[in-house]
Amino acid sequence: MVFVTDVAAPLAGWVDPRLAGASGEPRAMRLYRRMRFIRRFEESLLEMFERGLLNGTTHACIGQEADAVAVVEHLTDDDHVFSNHRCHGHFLARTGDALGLMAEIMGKPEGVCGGIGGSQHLCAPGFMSNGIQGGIVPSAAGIALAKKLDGGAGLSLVFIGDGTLGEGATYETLNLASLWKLPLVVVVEDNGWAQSTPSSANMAGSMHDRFAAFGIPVFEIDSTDVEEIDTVAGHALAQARTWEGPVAVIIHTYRLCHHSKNDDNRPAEEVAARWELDPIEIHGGRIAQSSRAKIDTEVESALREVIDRALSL
Amino acid sequence: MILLGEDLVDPYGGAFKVTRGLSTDFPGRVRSTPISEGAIVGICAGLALSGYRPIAEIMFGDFLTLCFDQIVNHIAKYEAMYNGKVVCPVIIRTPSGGGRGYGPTHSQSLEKHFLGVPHLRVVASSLVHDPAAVLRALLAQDSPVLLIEHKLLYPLHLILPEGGRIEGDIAEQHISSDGLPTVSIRPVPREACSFTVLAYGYQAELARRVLSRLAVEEEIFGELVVVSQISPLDWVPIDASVSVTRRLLVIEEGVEGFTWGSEVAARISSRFFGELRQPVVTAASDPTVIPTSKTLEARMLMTSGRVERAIRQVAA
Amino acid sequence: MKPVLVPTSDVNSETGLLVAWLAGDRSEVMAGETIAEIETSKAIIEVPAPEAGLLLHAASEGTEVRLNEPIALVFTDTGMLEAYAEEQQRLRAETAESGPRATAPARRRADELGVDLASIGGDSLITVGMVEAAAAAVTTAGVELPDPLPGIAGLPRIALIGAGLGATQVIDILQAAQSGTAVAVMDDDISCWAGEVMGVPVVGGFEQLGRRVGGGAFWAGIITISTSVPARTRLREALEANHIPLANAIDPTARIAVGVTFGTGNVVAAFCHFGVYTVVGDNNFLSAYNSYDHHNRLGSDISTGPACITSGLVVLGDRVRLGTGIYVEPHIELGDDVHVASGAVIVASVPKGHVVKRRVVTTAVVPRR
Repeated sequence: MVFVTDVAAPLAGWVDPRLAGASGEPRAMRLYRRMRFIRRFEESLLEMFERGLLNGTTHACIGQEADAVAVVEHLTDDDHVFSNHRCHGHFLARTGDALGLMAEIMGKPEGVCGGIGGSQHLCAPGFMSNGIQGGIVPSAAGIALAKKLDGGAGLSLVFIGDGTLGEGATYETLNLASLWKLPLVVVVEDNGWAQSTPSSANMAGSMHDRFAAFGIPVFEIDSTDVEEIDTVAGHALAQARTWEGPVAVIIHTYRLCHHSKNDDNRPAEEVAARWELDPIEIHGGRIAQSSRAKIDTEVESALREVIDRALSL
Repeated sequence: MILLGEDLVDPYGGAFKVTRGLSTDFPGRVRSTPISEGAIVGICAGLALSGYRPIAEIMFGDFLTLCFDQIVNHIAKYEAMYNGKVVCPVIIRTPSGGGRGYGPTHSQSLEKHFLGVPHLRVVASSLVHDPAAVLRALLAQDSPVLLIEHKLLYPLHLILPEGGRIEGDIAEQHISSDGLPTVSIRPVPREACSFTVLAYGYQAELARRVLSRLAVEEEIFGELVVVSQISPLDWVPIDASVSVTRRLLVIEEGVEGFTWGSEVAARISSRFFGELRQPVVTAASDPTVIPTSKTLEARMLMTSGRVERAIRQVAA
Repeated sequence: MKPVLVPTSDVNSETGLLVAWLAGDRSEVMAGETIAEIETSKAIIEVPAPEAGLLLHAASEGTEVRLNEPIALVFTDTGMLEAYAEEQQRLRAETAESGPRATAPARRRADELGVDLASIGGDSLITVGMVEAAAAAVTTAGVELPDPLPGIAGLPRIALIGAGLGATQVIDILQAAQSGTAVAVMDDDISCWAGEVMGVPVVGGFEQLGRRVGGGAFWAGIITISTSVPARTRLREALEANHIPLANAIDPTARIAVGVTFGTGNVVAAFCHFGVYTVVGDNNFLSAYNSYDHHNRLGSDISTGPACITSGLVVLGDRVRLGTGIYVEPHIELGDDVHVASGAVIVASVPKGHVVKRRVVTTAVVPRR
């Protein structure tokens, strides 16, 4: 195995308060800042792909930023997050390591995995992601089991999509996690579409009942409002920490961008209507215009620095 | 260390009784699971990522297909794709092989489909290697391992080299740099052996018995090289034998076509081109399903008779 | 007596552990009584007695037993039990394995050469090569090998190859024919070295050939091995390789007609007949009362038993082996390597490499009352 090691001290763990929020910042503003940061990151990424500056593929999470930001609010250092192919939002919310992620997607040795993992395969303290739908759920359950055996209070979270509910490994794991009372939190981001297939063509029965069938309590919300999601996430994780066993969180949301790059053939009116429920707009409206503009500028300049730095590596 | 698998807990102690007594002696660390090969192996992945040493038992090697994704796309990839930030030292043990009349889906040797998966070691138990020493060596390193235990070996006694001998034959043990053994068995000095037989697991035992008999009855002298790790291979003891005998037979129980033997033949032919006295001979089971009927099974599977025929082919 | 078998069904192993005898050796048992417990990989099996009687253990507690063999026997009377037990004891003593490890071919060769396997030593598997080396080593290791006889002036000095009964025949023929004198016998069987055959010393093995002929001890050899054609062939080739000519030994009672020619190395016993213009090749051993009628042709390395009678114009190929009491009709050819069983009457040619068998239908062997 050849590792990429000829790099100076790792850059991960560098958290810019302009992107993650300074300590002491009011919660509402912090939530906005982080969502804005993820949004701008993803948009910049897609733009760079279009300009031919990036290689390979990526899966942006535009429209779903509220989910990651809300859930992470309730995580501690003892918790672990396992994510899927659409992991940038989760990664940035959990680690704030924009440079590490940007460099990784650019395939640079300074990237968080030396350029080997790329967009879908990330590893940082408290975070991992892999590109196999459903396949990640057992790993997350294994991490949950480890935490239980360690006797600590940590939770193991795994982010899946509505499409993932087609994979058998998911159900095998839900069964085992419930049987063994593992501290596993399954967060389903149901954005109604699995690549080009709507849930109606993918899923029989009820999403909620799938978890209930294994005796797993479900916290469900249909919203793109970060504060509403935050409340539900708070309840869900509190439950996860107190009772012995897994918990499921189902967030009905929407992906405002393509599945990966330029592969969106959903009905235009449907997409347009969902833009009305842009989480950035919904929450941004709660913040004073001037504060909002200031945050936007800070995020922009910080992001610009990250991109320039990453391009120069 | 945690053991996970179906029906492991006492008093049953596993389908082949390998774990009998362990759940009593180590409560909480040996767990029976539902029939969920993917989840069993995947949960082991998560445990290994978190610093544990999990060992999964897949009840029959035939069921490895059900956890192929977890092994290939997760366990074998984590360390490399995360640039060395994590290790995932999962050991997956499984009883495999035919000869018991268990039929097409309970008799296979599917390890051939895991050969050459980058970053995955494939190891096979055999009677001439101390299983405790092998397991210790595997636990002392951080790569994931697929450990194949042929079920016909379970009721047999170990035949370990003692004083450089196994039942009178010269037995030379070579330990690789990471502690895995290869044992070379010859009835007479290597220079007097006219061919080398490479094998592992149960087939190695069949070959050993045939070679022992042919040596005494007919002065057909061949050296048997029994490897523990079958992928990647420690070529040193294999090359040492072939460079002298210059004839090689590779036998395995898996079905013919794109096999372990094919890989060995390619590498040895390349390394010893011009020095071999004949092309490398490979022998494997017939490329079809393994029938349940004892007579039909014996016709397509690598049996003692087929091993002997293959040996005579290379000894001629 | 009845065997006590382990009741097995769906057992994954061929052996089990005899964990406990519940009835003692030579004790009385009742039919169906549980007398032993066997542990297999799946379960502990209780073994019942098949009938009432006296129990004789065939395995000890704590040992591994084969599940398809009896672990004990039940006898109906003590006498039979004790007799059986004694017999088993005796057999065990007889078949106790001991001795050096050797291949089967090596054991056979050691017998042939009279080599004691234990003398070879070391802990390696003993091979034919090692046995032959040991045999050769013995010769050079100072076994006192005698010198050949000085011979009789005027008679060619002959070395006899083979120290068996054929040698005695050839010595007799040479003495009677006064065509040569046997001065030495050679044989690879070490046990007869330094011995003698009818006063002729055994001077060593065939590897002595080269050494002795160089010293002028003899000028020709005769192969005395009578029945083994492969041995005759092999030794003829060895003599040729050593540039040693072969001599004939023809009994003076043989009737040789006009125009008959002989090659070399032929042994012809008493009262043989060779009809006009018959041609005989080399190295043939023809026993007494063989008659080859006119215009026959014999090849080389042939071996015949007594009373083989051919008609005119018969051809025998190389390495033909005839038994005894054989008749051959005229114009017949026996190809190379043909073997003919005793008493056969050959009425058609036999292709090479074939065997002529004879079934005795009227001769019966019964015990004398």
